[in-house]
Amino acid sequence: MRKTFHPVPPKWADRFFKWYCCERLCETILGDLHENYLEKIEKQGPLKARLDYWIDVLRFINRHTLKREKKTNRYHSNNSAMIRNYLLITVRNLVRNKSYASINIFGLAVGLASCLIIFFYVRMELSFDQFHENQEQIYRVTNTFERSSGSIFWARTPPALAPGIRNNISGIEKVTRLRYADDHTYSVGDRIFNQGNVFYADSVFLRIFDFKLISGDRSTALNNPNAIVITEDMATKYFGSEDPMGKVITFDNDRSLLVTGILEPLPSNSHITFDMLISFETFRVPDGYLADLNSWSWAGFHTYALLSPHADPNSINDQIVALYNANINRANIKTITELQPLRSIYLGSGKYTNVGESIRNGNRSTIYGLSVVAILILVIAGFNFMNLSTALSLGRGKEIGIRKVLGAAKGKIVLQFLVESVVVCFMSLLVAFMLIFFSRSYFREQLGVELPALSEYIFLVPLLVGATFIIGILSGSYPSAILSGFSPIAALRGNLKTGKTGAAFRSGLMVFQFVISLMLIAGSIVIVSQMDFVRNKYLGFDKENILQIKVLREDMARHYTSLKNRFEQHSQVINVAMSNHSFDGGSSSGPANLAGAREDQAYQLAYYQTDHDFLDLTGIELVEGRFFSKDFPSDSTAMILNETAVGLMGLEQPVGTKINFTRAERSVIGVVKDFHFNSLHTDIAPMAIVMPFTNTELMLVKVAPGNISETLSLLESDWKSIVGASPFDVTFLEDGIQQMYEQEQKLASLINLFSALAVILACLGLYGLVTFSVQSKLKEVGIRKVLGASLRGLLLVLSRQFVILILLANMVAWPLIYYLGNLWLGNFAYRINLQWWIYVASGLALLVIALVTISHQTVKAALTNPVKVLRNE
Amino acid sequence: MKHALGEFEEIVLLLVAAQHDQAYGLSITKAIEEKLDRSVTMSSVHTALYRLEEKGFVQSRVGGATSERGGRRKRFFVITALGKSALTESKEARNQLWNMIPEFVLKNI
Repeated sequence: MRKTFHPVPPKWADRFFKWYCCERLCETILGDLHENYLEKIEKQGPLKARLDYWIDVLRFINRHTLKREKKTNRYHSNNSAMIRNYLLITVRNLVRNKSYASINIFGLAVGLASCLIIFFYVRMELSFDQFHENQEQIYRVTNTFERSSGSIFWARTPPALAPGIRNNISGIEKVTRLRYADDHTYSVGDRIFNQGNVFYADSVFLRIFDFKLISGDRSTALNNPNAIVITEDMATKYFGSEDPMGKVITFDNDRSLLVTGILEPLPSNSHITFDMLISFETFRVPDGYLADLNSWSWAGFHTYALLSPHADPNSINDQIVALYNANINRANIKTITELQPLRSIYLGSGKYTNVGESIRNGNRSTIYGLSVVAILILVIAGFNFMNLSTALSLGRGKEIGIRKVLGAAKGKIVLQFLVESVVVCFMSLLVAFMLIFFSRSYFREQLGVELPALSEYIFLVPLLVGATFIIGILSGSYPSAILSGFSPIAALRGNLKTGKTGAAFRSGLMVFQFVISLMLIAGSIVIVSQMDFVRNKYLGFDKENILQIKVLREDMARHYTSLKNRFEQHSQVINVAMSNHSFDGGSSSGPANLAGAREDQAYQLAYYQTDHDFLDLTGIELVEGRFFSKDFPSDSTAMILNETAVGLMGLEQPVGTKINFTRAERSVIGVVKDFHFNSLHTDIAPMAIVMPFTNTELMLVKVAPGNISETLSLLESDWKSIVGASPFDVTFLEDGIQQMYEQEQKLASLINLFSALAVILACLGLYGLVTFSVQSKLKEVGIRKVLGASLRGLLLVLSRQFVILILLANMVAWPLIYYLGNLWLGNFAYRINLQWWIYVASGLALLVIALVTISHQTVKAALTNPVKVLRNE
Repeated sequence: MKHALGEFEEIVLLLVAAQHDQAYGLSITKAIEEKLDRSVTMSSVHTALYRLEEKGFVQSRVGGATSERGGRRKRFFVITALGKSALTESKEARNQLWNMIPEFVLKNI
């Protein structure tokens, strides 16, 4: 017969038909279908034929054609009954070994919970500022001053930068300034509040950033002078239940601000935080400030730019640098700017100083560190689980033997143990949820970590179930492989000796766990010692027993002298000084010109404004010359430099040098030894100390040690009688300094917590392994006893193996500790060194904990009556 | 009636008898469509055939390999003795009814 090309009927229809049709009719019906199809294709075309083919295939589904299981002769296993049996046996085994089972489930649950908690923390930290619609195009403009000795990165920029960018540079859609408004009084009727956390913002601020408004128009709310936008919370605070829109808030008793918008509560993952926004045109340079809004040297403003969709940030940055340098030029300093993408501001600002108030910064290495810890803990928990499950299953030789004799293939026994492992994993998941639920308040209050409500886990359920399933399979794979390999005869005799390879594998797991534990223990020690070092390092001044009182500028102007006199009458008060900053990272700065130098050749100096008693109060050491003195009225135009500044400017004889600084020609009268006015993350910057030329906001009070609370109440009553209504806002200088290390403190407490957990988990695993090995050595112990071994000798024999494992783990862990420790300590300009005792201490700690753990089993084994273990032979 | 035979089943059974030993699903479907001018789906013909087989009116056998239809074999149907008697019975019942019709009734058509 002539072969012709026949178009083939729809393949999937054929497959479907073969799938449902019983064997007896399949071939003949399919033949009819094909024959019909070939005829139809000629008469009606392929499309109709194919469609009809599908319809026919579907029509053929009926009781004659469908497959019927009964009619086939093949044996079908009853899987559901088998799995039900597996579950039953699992539960029975868990119930029989309650203590083991709970250790196992709890251990894995702790691992899962830690992992989840860290996951949520990390997710929160990574989600910062992602809620702005244009976040891809928003950049913060920062500036860097490059000196030969190093670079200083400043997050805040001068006020003239934003208008300069707007007027001169294309490719930028909008640019806004943000200026932190220091504490001021705000009042509505007779309700007066002293309020910080407020920014002055350009009118486009709300069009660049998506902070949602409940009422008011985002495009016009900040357009006019004296406009204020407040959050919902502030609306309640100031106006109660009234509608604040269009109402007036009185600012510092002399200006009226019109409420033009109400903001939704700010998302918790915004790096800019504020309670109120005041239109930028409202901002007045405070009295006594030497710069105005055209300044290119007053770095006190945040500049944010919204770039056009296809603009190239690099070329725009080059233009901004050119613009900057056209307006200001500093001697020996190269000024460059950097466009910092919005999404990297929160985590990527570690190198910046001069960050300003109400701006939050995170720490990327904290996040990486915690993620690694999370994975390590999960690995430890998984390994534990493996070790414990294997140990737990050893008593089940008879069961496995019987199953094998009754025909269970190796695969079925593997399946059984995998099912058990998965079931236990899911129990752990439930326990983990309970742990998270009960630890929420602890994390919120102690560690400042907000865990989401349980309802928010719903979207994670598929992921969690999947992950738990995989953990179950992975950690069940080893015990199941070991146990399914037993020969039925050996198993039935209850003679479960595991081979040498198995022991090596388990020891390997154990060493790995020990290494991780050692690293975490050493990590905790390093972090705690570094924090201690930071806390106790002499910063160049005495920070103890100094109170700082926040004073409103106008109160300072009016009441400072009388407050100082009154305070100093108390015997507990040693000194009183005013200052604009207090060693907690904040500082002002300005350009300094050596007399006779060109206008544009300036050094950037940070400066403190303080008065006469500052040096005595803080104990800062004077190297040359003298400090401000009441005997020299001309000291109001004097200045004092630190050693770094002297070095930077290359002054041979600093005392007597004339320097133009903060709009006055000042003569240097003294040099102080360098002190840490910034955090220890950064080097000491060049700085100057001048007499106050503005009203500062801080009073520093040095008090005698002991009975601080009494002193505080004395000061407060003085304050009330002199200043009156304004709140008495007092803090300890030390606390302010401590706050600069908040991130590290948080990391320290998290790492401490999780390394404790990891050590506990590793010990649980160790306990399992010890039980396992002691059980298999019982006969050896019996024989040794019969032959006269002492208790001490037996303990040695039983523990030796584990001591060796721990020593091995130490060998592996030490280089890792060295590397990672130095990596973290690299974040600090002033840091401890990794000393030998850190390694030894962590090793010893682990050894002691491990020996205590195994002693329970080894002592029990060593005390067993040899008759009991030997009589079977 | 001893042998229940539906209307469609009867047609199929008649055609099985008519195409003696060469009747299979598709041939019967085509015959119904051509001879009776009646639209019918192949699956209903097959279903009827299997039902008839269950009742014992037809027997099936699988033929030899074919060169068309992908080499798939055909299932041929043959009428059984029981089938024949069912047909005869059905025909006699009808004849009996025909005979009951008075002659003038038919003539007036």
